[in-house]
Order: sequence, then C-alpha cells, then structure tokens
Amino acid sequence: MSPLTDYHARIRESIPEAVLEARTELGNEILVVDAEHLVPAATLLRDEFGFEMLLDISGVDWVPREPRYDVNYHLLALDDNRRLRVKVQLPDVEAPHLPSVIEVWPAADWHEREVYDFFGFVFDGHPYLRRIFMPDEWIGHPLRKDYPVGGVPVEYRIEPAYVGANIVPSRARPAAGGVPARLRRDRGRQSHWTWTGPPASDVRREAGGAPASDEATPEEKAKE
Amino acid sequence: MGLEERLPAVLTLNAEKLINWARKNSVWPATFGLACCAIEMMQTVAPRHDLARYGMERFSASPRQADLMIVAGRVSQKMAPVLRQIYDQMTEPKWVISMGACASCGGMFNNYAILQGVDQIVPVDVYVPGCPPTPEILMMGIFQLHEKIQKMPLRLGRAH
Amino acid sequence: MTDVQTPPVGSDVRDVWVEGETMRVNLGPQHPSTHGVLRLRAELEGETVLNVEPIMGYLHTGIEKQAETLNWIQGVTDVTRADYLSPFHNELGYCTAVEKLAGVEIPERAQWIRMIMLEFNRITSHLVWLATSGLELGALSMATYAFREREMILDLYQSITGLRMNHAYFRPGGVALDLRPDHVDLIKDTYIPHLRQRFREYEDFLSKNPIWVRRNKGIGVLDPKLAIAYGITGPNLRASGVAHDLRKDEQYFLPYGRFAFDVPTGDTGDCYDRYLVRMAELHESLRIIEQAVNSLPGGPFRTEGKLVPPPRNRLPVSMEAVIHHFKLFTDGPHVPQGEVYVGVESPRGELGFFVASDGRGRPWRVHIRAPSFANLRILPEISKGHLLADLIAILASIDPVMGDVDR
Repeated sequence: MSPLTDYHARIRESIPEAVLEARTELGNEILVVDAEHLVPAATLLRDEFGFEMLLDISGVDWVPREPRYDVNYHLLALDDNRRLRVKVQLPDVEAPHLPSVIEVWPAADWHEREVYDFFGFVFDGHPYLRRIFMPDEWIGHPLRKDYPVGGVPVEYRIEPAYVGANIVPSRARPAAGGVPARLRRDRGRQSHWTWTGPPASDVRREAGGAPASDEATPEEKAKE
Repeated sequence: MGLEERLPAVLTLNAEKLINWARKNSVWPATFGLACCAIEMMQTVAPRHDLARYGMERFSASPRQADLMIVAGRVSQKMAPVLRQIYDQMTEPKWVISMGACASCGGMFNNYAILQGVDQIVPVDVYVPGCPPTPEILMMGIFQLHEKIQKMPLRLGRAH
Repeated sequence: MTDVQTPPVGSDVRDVWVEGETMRVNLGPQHPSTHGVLRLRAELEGETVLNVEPIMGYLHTGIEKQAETLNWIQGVTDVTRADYLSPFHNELGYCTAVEKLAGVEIPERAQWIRMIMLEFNRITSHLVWLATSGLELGALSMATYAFREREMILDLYQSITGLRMNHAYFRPGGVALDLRPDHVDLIKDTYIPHLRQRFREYEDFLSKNPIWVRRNKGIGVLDPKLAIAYGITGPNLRASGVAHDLRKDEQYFLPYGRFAFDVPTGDTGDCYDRYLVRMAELHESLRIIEQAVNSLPGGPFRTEGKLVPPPRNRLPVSMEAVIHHFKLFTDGPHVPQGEVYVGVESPRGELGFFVASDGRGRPWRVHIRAPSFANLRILPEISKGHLLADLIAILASIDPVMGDVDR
C-alpha cells in the first residue's frame, strides 16, 4: 500500500472534505486539497507523517483551465526522504484568497510573499504580505499569463555607412559621403590646433546647436 | 572646467598629457558587481589576469573615492535608481564601463525585469561584450578606456 | 490592480527608521560585504543587532517568465544563470525535469560526465565562498589563493564545455560535447593531486588561525529544529548536525551510490562548523571525481531521439535527420504534458526545479526552488544579539548567491 493512500485515509478520518484527489504522477505523490482545510491538513501531515520541512511553494497559472490557478506545496520528510506535493486549486478571480501555512511551517513566510508578488494570491493570516522581488509600488503580477513578458523590440538594421557590410563583411567599404564621425576609429577626435567645436552628438538638439563638422546629421535625418 | 578652458592650448598641452597619464594609471573602480559578470571581474583581479598591474586593484566601496564604475551584471528595475544614485555620488572625472551583454543592452533577458542597457540611465564610455566576458576581454575594454582617458582634453567638460 | 488589503507602505513598524533607543541602519544593495546586491536593514542598539531584515529583488531577472518564451533546449541557457556560481546544478535540475517529463533515460557515460562536472562545480563554488568569506572577514590572501585554484578549474571547463561560466553544457538527453581522453588524463594526473594538496594548505591557512576562530566560533548558532522548520538544506543544515544529503538518497537520479564518499556534519551549527563542513566537502568532491574518472564508461554521451539534435555527420546523408533538426530548432522538442519536481544537491542546498509542460515546444511553467532564498530566511533568527561585525561573518557563512535568491 503506497504511503499516499495512508495520507489520504488518515486525513479523510478527521477532515473528510479536505482531500479532493490523490494521485501519483511521474514518481511524485500529489494530494489535491481544498483551500479551506489546508491548515488542518498541513498540521496533520507535519505531526503524524513527519513532513517537517516545507521546501517550496510554487504557483502555476493554467489559464484557460478552470480552476485557473494551482498552488503547490512541496514537502519533505527528512527521516526517510519521503516527498509529497500538496496542491490547492484556486478560481479565476482578481485576488484569490487562501489560508497561510506560516503557523505550520515558518519557512512559508517568504515563499508566500513570492507567490503573492508574482501571482496576486492573498494568504490570509500572513503577518507581512508585501512584495518581495518587484519594487513596492509595482503594479501587476508578472507571472500571470495575461502579464506580458515585456522588453523592447529588437531590430537589426543595415548600417548604411558601410556598403556591403551585411553581405561580405570583409569586403565592406565606406559608402559615398564618408563615414559618420561616431563610427570612425578615432571617433571624430579633433586636435587642439584644429578645434572646430564639440561633435554633433554632444550638442543638445533642442537648444538648436550647430553641428559644424559632423556629416552624419543629414544622413540621420534622411533615415528618420 | 574653469581657468584651463580659457587658456590657449599650447600652455596646457604638456600638463594635460601628464595629468591624463596619471589618471589612467590609477583608475579606482567602484564595487558594482551585480551578477555573473562580477565573478569574472573578481577573476580579473585574481593572480592570473592581475589587474593590479594597472593600478586598479583598489576597489573602492565608497563611490566618492572611485573613478570608474564597472557595471558588471544585469540591472533590474529595483536596482536602477540605486545605480544612478551611486553614479551621481561619484566625483569627476568618472567613467563607466558597461561589462557584459546584460549591462550593455539587456542581454538575453529582454523582459519586464531587466533594464535594457545601462546606458538608459548613465552615460557609458566603453561597452564590453560577452556573457560573461572573460578577463582578457574585460582588460581589453579597460585598455580602450585608458586610451580614451589619455586623449581626454582638459578643457572639454562632459555634456551631461 | 488587485484588490488586496495589505497595510500601505509606511504604516508597519518595520518601515520606521528611528524609534526610541534603537537605530535602523541600512547596509545598502551596493556594499562590499553583502555577497551581491542584498539590502539589509539592521535594527541596532549600539553595536548589537536586535533584528535584521533582508530586502531582496535587486537582481530579479525574470528567469522563470523568460523560460516560458524559450524552447526546451534554449531554456538551459536561461536557467543556468540563476545560481551563477553553480551553473551545472541549475542545468542538471532543468534537464532532469525535462527528461522525466519526456520519459527519457540518459546513457551511463552522460551520467558520469555530469557527476564529474557537478563535483568540480561544487569545488569552484566553495572556492568562491572561501575567497569572499576571507575577503569580508579580513583574510585577504585567501581570496588570492582560492581564485588561483578556481582559475585552473575554469580552464578545464573552457576546454570541456567551451565556456568558463554559464556553460549550457548539460542538455536534455545528455551533455552537449563529449569528454576527450586527454581531459580524463589531465584530471587524473594533474588536477586531483594538485587540488588535494592545495586544499590541505587552505586548512593550514585558516582553520587554526586564532583570528578566524575567534570571529567564527560560537557565532550564529543554528539550532537543527529551527533549521528544519525554516527549510534550510545543504551545508548549513549539515553543520547543525542533520546528515541530510540528497546524493545519499537511493531515489536520486544520478548513481552517486556507486561512489564511496562521506557526508561531513558539524555539531554546534555555528559559523566555524559551516566553514569546516564546506572544507571537508571540498575533499569529498575530489574523492568522487577520482572514482568517477577511474570508472568512466564508454558509449554515447547523449541519447538518440526526439529531445536531442541528430549528429551533424548524419545531416548530409539522411533526410529524416534534416527534418528532425529543422523541427527541433524552429519549434522545439515536444515534451508530453505533465508536471514534475526534481531536487538537486547544489553547493548551497536543495535546488529544486518544478517544471510544468502543456505538450508543446516551450515550458508552461518553470519554477526554481532556490536554496539561497530559503537559507537567507535564517539570517534574522541567528544574528540576534550578535555584533554588527558578526552579522557579516554570519552572512558569509550562510553563502547566499543573489542570482539564486532573486532569480
């Protein structure tokens, strides 16, 4: 008889409606527990079955499945290296609530904060439920599936100052009209004797500065 | 900067060469190691690629005494204001090396959490590519910075 | 966005800076001794620490979200940068999770190669710990010596995998490149004797040093019951006397049971015991590497099949190989639906990977159980009553890596 059926049977004795499902998947034993009865079930697992260590709490957003969210508690019994995953399923509401297991395993403190930060689940009974990774004033919960990955669009443009650079790089030659100062090896450096003014990139455009010696500006204007 | 800007060039030429030579041979980096690049930065100070040969082994924790900020690692949204504050606390003349792909352009992390290039918030002098750049590449970037420092005119103030 | 009734920032007592006779000092994210970008808010009375609150998130990279946009093979490059001091362990967790989901067994030679690289990684990680702990407590030459040895091992990594750090060498189905015979000879003849001798020198250097002992003995005592309640694993737990090492578990997916090695434990759980445990682990890792290279089996270094690209010499001759190659690099290998949790014994503790797949070429969810994140939770508990300088020693002995904490 597998230990999973022991856990299921024992929990069913004292809290009949707690366990919704018990299955083994890919060598991991999983107990799906109802959110309301999470704390008594957790206490039972810790005291009677020796699951003293809470390794991790992880949330998963299974949109468009209903119930949308999964919260997995990964437990470890140190005596004989038994593992168990307790799963709580949460509905698709703006801020799903579930009880905090911080009284059962103090390790839950930061893990619950992490899950709140990334998914927005509210753990009732947690003494200091604040964001832990994102800045305090961040809006949104990044690991939800409707939150975009973010970032910037990356474009690979052909640099017009060099002809042939993208086809045969070793045969690239400067285009007619010269290479702009910012791409030259000496970066348009001027000597003390022939100083004609700061390079165009240093002069603020809004102030109407005159780009005296830099041929790039009409090119750049044409590009834009 | 001051009087030096108004003097004719011939008077300040040799002083400029001397001052720039002195500046480039003892650049003191500020400790700004963030992630994996920081470990390679530490390896650059390690015995094999000894950075002390160039006078740069004195990493200064206080930005007031630092010349160079090597942004070594990925800059997250929470860290960006801290980075700008440390940059502002550094005294002139100061330079910034953006070490690694993440500091230069966001690297492989093109997402909500990472600043896509540290040049969004501080002006960068040298970009060092790599993920992480090996100590040889970082030293090459530092040599480029030394060349830049050597050519820096005394009279020209920074336009930022 | 969410209608959550949490106290607004500024209303909790933890947000107040000076209250009564105590002072709150900020050891900011930019600090020479905080092991990366960790921010500590310490409540001090004079020099005594009453409470310390670690604030993290300054290196949050979005690795878990990024992994959902990369296919199963590209995911290795993403995940390897989480705990950047032990990249092979990250790769192992991810690849093993993928292999379990796909129901794939890797060949023996791949398992041996993985074990050799993992133990070398444990050595390099402990060397960085040793170097930075020495630096923070004032033993500056320790950093010079430890980085010198680490440089040797990084040369080995470069020769085998192509990169010094963040290798992406373990792939689902095996490893990316094979180990050459001259690598094996190099490890056997040069690395193992040299490193063994150097590790003995390090012990001579620090273990009986009166300053080191005074700064570490009796500092930051971690009670084993407290450690278990807070989910502490790895050398921190073993130094408190609990002999829990995942490699000694029969269910572990790598055959460490074939090698004879001990699991060092401490008795009091103070910083000095954590130091001794990690120094002993350096020697144990060398033992494992020696036995592994002496018994390295032949055979393929990766499986054939859906997860793995075909050998390049088959591409000119076989159309199926070309199609397989194309599908693999455009769409990604299709891993069957399911979710699995895999625990790896990393130098910091149990590194767990919870991977969920929905049957397509990209993961649905990758969650990393970071050992440093759990281990850092213990900092407030064990530094109460110590001095501010001891706080640095305790933090160094916990060995957090901020890439792991923040992911």
